Amino acid sequence: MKNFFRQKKGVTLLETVLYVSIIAIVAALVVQTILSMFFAFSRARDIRRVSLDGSFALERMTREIRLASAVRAGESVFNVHPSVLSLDTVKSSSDAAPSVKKIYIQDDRIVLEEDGVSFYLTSPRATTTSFIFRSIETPHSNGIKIEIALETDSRKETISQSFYNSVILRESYK
Amino acid sequence: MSNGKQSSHAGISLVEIIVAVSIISATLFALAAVSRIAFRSVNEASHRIQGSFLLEESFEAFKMIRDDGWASISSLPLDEEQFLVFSSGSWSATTTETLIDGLFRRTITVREVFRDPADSIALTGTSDPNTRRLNVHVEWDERGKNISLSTVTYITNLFLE
Repeated sequence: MKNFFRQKKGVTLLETVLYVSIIAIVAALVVQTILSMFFAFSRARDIRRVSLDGSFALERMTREIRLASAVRAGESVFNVHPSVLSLDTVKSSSDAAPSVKKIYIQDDRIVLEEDGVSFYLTSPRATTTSFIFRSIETPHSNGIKIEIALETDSRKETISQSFYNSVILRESYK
Repeated sequence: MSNGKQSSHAGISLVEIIVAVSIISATLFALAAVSRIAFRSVNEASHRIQGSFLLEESFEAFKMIRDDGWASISSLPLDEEQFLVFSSGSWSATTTETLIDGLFRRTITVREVFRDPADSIALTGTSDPNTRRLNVHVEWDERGKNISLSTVTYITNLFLE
């Protein structure tokens, strides 16, 4: 009886050691995998935020510039960060009432101002690190080259993306 | 008898544990692989957004080059890769290769346009000196994989200079 007990106990101890070590290895793997998944997820979310903000802001600026007839040179600042673009334009593509629209940087975010009412084009967590307009003048039209760079802090690094576009002021054709 | 039964029972539990562990780890590795693929796709999607803006920009840039004077379009070599450069307030085409942000390679190939007797654009016919076909191509490397966006447009001598 005593002999039997001792034998059983020995096997159980060996088993326990095996189980514990296997479980420890598995737990380490599980934790590592879950952590890396979380990192990948948060990085993907941050990249997505920057690219969505960038494409939205650039798309909106493109449309506003296309709609415009002239650049208000006195209120605009070109070729430096942060640039300011002031446009003689219309209220919207379906409302031809004259309007002044201004695009500039405030609190590191892109702002569109329409007849004194302003709103942000980018979200608070995306920082605009470069915001440059360049004026292009040709004998027949005026155009604007837009260069923007947005940045957001991710867990381990900073995610930064640049967006470029050039747009002709459609109403500037002569 | 009792001894043999005990040890065989213990053996089965160990095998069970190993099977369970391998199933769990296989699942986890699969999940990790999925998250890697998802992450890569998000990266690629953001590059595609940047690339499509570059594509759009090249149309406008060529319109501005045209607005500078049709001669700056008609003098461009045909069927040859061109790159766009911006300097001192205007766009121009060059054969010097440039990468945008060290990643995107944007090429524009200018092609001759032919018109049939009905004055429609055709593959063969009379050459039209006042129209050019532009093949725009934006390509980049995505972790060793080449991704490209391309599109075609026509540009005309709008002001008949």
